Amino acid sequence: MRRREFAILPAKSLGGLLLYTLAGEPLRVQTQDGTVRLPLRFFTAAEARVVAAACERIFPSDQSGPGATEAGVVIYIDRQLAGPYGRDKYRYTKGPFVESVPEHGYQGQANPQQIYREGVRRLGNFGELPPAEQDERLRAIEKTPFFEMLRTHTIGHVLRPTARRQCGPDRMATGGISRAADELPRGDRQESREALEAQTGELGAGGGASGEGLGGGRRRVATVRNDLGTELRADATNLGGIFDPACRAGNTSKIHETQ
Amino acid sequence: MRRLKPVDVAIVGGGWTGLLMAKEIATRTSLSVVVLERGPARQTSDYLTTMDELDYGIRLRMMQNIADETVTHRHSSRDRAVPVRQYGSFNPGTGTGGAGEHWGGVSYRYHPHHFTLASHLRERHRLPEDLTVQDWGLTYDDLEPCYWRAEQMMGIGGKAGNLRGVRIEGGNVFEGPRAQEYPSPPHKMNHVMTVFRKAALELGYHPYPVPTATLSEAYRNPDGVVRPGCAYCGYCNRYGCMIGAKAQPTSTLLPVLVKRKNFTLRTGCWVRRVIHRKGKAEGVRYMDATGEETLQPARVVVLSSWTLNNTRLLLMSGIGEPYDPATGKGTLGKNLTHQVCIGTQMFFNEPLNGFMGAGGMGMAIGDFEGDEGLDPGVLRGGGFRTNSSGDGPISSFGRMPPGEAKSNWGSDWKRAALQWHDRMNYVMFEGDHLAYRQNYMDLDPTYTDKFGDPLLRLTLDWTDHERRQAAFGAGIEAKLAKAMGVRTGGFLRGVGRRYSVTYYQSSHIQGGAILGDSPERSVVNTWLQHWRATNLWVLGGSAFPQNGWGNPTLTALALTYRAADAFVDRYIKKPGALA
Repeated sequence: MRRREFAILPAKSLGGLLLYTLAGEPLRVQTQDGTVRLPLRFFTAAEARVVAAACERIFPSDQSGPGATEAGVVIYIDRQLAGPYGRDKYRYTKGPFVESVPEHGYQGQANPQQIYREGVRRLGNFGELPPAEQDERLRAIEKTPFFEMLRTHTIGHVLRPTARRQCGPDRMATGGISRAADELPRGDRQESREALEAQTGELGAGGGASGEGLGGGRRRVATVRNDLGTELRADATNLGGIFDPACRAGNTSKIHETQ
Repeated sequence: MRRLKPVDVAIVGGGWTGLLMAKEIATRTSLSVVVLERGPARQTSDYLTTMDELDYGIRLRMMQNIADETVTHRHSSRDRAVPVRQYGSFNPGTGTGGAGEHWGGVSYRYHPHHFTLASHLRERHRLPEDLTVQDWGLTYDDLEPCYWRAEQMMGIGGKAGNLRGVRIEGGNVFEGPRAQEYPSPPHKMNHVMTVFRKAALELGYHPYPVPTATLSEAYRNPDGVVRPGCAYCGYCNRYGCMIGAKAQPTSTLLPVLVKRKNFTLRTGCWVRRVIHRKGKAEGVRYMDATGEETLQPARVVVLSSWTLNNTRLLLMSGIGEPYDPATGKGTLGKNLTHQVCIGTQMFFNEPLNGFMGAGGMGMAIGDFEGDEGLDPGVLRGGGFRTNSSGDGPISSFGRMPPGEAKSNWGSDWKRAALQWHDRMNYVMFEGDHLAYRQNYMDLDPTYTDKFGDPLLRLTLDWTDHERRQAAFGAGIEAKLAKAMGVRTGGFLRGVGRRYSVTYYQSSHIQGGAILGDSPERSVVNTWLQHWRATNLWVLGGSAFPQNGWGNPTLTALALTYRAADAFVDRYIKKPGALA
């Protein structure tokens, strides 16, 4: 097992250290000296510095609002790459691998972990360069799969909704922060939550089953057992009345009534 | 191999068509019905936590994991096919309810001329030889009562434009005669719909609200299933509905099915073959959730696992004669069609509150949904509409008119993106995709799925006709945008020089096991019963002889009602060929 590496982030990043648990509950991480050390799961500390700097040029903190640094994007990319997505568990990876026409998209063998590792290596001393030179270096790799991925991940994590019940993207577009507890896509939330809890020892207070607390409708759940002994549950009341009242009122009142 | 007790009906695939067939059989007869679904179990309460665009909208959590199985694609029989390694041009669903859980809910009926397309076109044109369009073997009038039942089951909201032959302004005046008004009213109008409608009227077109399966108000269907009206949260396409307003198999069919003792749903069961002997299906062989190979004997087998998997299962099971594009012989795999799409970005000066919406919410014009008013050399048109399906915070960020920023990252870009945020909508064209001799499906000789079974190979490309259709579509879109007084930007989902699997077009893929009036030209009869194996039924988009413009789900469900009637009312009493 490799030596544990840490990203040291200024406290203003991660939105002032406001993280979100799986249940969407905000959680504040305390800090004494204005910085927070977060353990890395895929990047080395040096790699994380390059990635953080590159993300910051893609979605900068500037006069128009906070950016990738405040959103702690490097942590999310690190977690995502450490999980099944990084190992290409959601891409068809059987061979033979052959070159094809552009209409067939990326046909390569390298997975996101490998693409990042190589891409970051090629960026070299990127973290130490002045912003103008950093931009030049990124422009030179704009058409590579690595940059496409880096750009998509940066924007995705900066703009990811902070809480599932927030109806509009307005706050996101002016720089929000992402959820920390479930950064891994597709079916790995539990793993990611446990991993993060184990590593920070601070998350996980939220708990709570998904969906509880939304609205006040009474639910009748019909349960049947299938041939394999697993239960099939269906909502016999069809969710009558289960909705988020705030969300509904907020939305419909803004619909233009013109009929 | 584990051998289970025989059942009366084994249904492969627990999406819209499979569960509807199951509901009709299990509620109208005492036959034992087992639905085998290879994806995970889903229920409506799962969707209370799905409003996460990165996880669902972008990483496609609800779709089938492409690592397990995909398709290969090539542009022509001369090319080498390569696998579609990540989703792009279409998204296959999986799990209980299938793609019916995360669909948008657009619920058009096809027009009468869609069902007689080949005859209809031959009356007007000398058709090129490579065109293999066919009549359906049934008419709009045959299907009308079934359309009505599907609309009632889901509570489709819309406005009739042709009620028993009387044209009604405000609805789609070009549609075939409807016996009944829609079961629910259309959605509320938003700003984009209002502006589009006004512009369309000024241009002399006939706007109507897009019919949708997302309820505009609370509704009780004939099965007694009650669902609430839409909250316009905008998490529809690629998501399960958080409140149950969108019709989904889990919210409309399962509540009925779970009360039936003769119904069983088994998830995690990956069917690999239909077992058959002497022209009769005897059951299916599948891998269960624990990886154990299992044989489920059945008196009747129903395939309802979407266009691609229906065709693949028939090919792998050796049922029917595979289509050969060189000779035109064989029927299995022929007439593969997708969808001719093009959308134009429209930029408004005012914010649109685009995060509000519903999957199918929008305003359409019906003027080109046939063959009137088209450009020379364009045989078939299609629908034009705006779509306020709910902009996600991630995917809607960075949309701006051309020239506003030098690249798609950095400070300038970010400032422009914030400035133009929430000011874009599309006007979209979805046209008929005609069937051609050279577009078809067979088994790939090289690539395999996780069990080592061959992948399905798609041989598909655009022809000059689709490129002309798209150019025509873009022209009308420009006209509409101009009348709306908005700036236009880039194109969306466009038909390109060649077919591309890299960007989303639609999940409306049809053909492979097409219906028809003779076994020489089709795989199933018009009741979706296999011509050769009469106790085998094949439901869904695989039956469409060609793509008929609008979104296909409602038509697939109407065909399923018709199949279920034939099965329950005729086949059970006298098993054998219905046609």
